[in-house]
Amino acid sequence: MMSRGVELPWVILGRRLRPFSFVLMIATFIVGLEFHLTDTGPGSGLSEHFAGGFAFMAAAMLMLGWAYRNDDIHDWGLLVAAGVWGARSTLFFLHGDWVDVGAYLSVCWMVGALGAYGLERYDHKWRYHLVRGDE
Amino acid sequence: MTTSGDTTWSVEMSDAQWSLLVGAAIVIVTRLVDVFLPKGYMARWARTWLVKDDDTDPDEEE
Repeated sequence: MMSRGVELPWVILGRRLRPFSFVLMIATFIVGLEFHLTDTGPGSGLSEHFAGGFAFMAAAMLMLGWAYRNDDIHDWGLLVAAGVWGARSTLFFLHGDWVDVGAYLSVCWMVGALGAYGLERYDHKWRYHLVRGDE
Repeated sequence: MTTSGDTTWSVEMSDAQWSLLVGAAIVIVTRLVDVFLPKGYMARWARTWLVKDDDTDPDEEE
């Protein structure tokens, strides 16, 4: 028997708790604020406002996916968040230099979001029996 | 874009525009890989090397 995805037995308001998605939502929301509000960082032009808008959208999708128990919305939130963090790391690498800690931390968040997306999609395939197991 | 005799094309984008492009590429490429991966089938090498094979169920050992 192959290993299946394991869901945490924790629920809040009757909804499945995903700890990583929760902190990703908060961190991505903060990035949205950073892109829109800060002057010290790379948050001034129209492109940065676009990136900030996508950050808010990703945070909203993660929240709505949890609130409405909709895995598709949640998965899209993970994916858009990965794009936002990838964009942020690129911006910091291009804007700053190769020792910018924020850029490397953004890469970590991006990899985490992509990994969570992959796990969720893989879990869906098991859940809906779309993948054949051991024949 | 610059022209001097022969027409040469160059894309002049700001750092922020490049970062937006990278972010969009991450989303699009990941989604395309997810969509076009074969459904209902897992390659033998993936099953051998990428998935933990736990034959024993702790609840059934007792």
